[in-house]
Amino acid sequence: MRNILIPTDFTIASLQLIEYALLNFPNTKLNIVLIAGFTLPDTRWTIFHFNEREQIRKQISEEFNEAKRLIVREHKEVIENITFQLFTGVNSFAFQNFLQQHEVTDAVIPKSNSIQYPSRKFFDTTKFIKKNVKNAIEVPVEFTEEAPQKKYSLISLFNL
Amino acid sequence: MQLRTKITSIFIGLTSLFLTGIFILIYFVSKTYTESEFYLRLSQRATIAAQAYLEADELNIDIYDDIRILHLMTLPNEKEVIYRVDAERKVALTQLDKSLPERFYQIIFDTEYAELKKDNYYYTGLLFHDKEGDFIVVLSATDLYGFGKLDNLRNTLIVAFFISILFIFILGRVYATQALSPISKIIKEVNSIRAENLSFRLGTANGNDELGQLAKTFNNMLDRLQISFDLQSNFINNASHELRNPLTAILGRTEIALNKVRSKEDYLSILKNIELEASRLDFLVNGLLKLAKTDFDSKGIVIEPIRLDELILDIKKNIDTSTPENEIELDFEELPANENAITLMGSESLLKVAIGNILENACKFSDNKKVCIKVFSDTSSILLTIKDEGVGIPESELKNIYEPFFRASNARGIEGFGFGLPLAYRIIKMHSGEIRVLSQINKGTLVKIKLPNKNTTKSL
Repeated sequence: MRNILIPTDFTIASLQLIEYALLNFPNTKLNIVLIAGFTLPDTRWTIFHFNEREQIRKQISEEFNEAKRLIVREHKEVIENITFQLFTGVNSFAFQNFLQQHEVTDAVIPKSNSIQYPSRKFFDTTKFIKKNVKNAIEVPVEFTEEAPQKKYSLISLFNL
Repeated sequence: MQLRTKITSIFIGLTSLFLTGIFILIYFVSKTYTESEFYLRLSQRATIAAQAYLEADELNIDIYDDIRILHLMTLPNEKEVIYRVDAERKVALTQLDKSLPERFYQIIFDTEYAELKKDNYYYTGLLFHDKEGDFIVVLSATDLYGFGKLDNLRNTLIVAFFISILFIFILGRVYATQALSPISKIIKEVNSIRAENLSFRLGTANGNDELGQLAKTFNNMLDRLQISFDLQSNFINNASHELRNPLTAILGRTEIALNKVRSKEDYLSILKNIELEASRLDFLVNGLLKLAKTDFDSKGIVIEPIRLDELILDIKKNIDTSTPENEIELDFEELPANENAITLMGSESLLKVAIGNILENACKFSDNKKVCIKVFSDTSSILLTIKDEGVGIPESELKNIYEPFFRASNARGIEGFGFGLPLAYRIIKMHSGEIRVLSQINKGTLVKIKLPNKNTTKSL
């Protein structure tokens, strides 16, 4: 069984990376770790009440869940598990610790810089993965899905 | 009337209605407030007047009046009248002012206080009890300042109303133009589409709003139109090409035979050859007729309910006969129990060609390694995944695979015309489906097909 690290921005398009992982590691049971970078809050109160699961849950939409479920159903025989992890560190040392903790040796990352987060609290971990994971496979994923519009921005009203 | 003008006028109508309501409310609230404030002042003045009158015997009335006029502001046109009355029997002891209605005095007797507005004059009446007897003080004045203020407010509101209507008109017009500009763009683009440039697509198809969806709908319609067009013309091309081969052979043979006098054996062999070619021709024509009957009926393509699992089993049987060494693995484990969920409306022969092409490609380009085909469904669609472990497609060429006659750079050694996948793509598009190809070079290819099932489409 292999643990595969895949960056995600919680869009359905980003799930394509999982399919590329399946293509690259045929006939192997895969444990997929979806990772997103997260900047820890800076007040004591919010750190004390920080809950990783809660933060992830807030980002996941119903459609995303549905798409994920579909992929698991589609490749039931090779996908062992899909888990979400937040990387809350700031440098490569922290990232190497993270890799050790999750026993990750392989990763699948998008070639173009297409990971975009709706919230500024999140950041892209692709460059950490590129630097620290031994076997990081770059795949040509095109995130055709539009970048999600900011929820309450007035610009979207006038931008017809 | 243009939509733009319509939108603007509705916009203006609604806002002016709303503004009128708000402005009228503002005006009347201010008016009521000014009046009630003035009545309060009147009643205060009336009290002072009454006290001056009552205490006339105890105080020097002239001094009191002086103070009152000098230091307490007199209202414009202020006039005070005091009547002696008998409150018990509710009758006046002196002559009352007849110009005021009887009702006014009645209210004073009942509640000891009354207000009245007549022309521009405000009246308040107060009933006082004193040891010398009861009396009514009626004080009247005009509210010059209040009227001035209200007039000013009314004028301001009217001017504000017209200015805002003007602005709303300009803004509404600009906004309507801007909102409708994509529509006029779409109209222009659609108008430029002719039979010879059917491959043209609307550029406004991004965005998830209604206009983006409209453009997408147009593009999908164009896809289907183009596919039907291409299919028809390809069919004629292929058919005439196929028909010509045996005909040329027959013509060649007869030409040779007629060239000079030949022996009986020669004639026999030539006739046999001609018979062979003619029977090939017969077979072809029969096949074409059959195809025409099934595919291109009088109405067009025959649409019928198809069970996708049965279709795939059929295709597998066909491939088994043509390439017996294939290793196609069918995975029907996730098949739904509900038959409708795995049934779709479509043309069986076309879908057979499409899925057959993809499967054949998977076998061909993986040198008959394992090919996994999985069918499952969700509520609205049937999903089909075909996974091989073949040569893959170079990522730079992945976007070209739906172009007819395109062949990937690593597929040169493998025979083919580059016609299978484009055809499959078009057929699946025609069934309102989606096809996605993911590939990693030398690792394999994953083809994902999504077709709407019978629950969602009643007809194509």
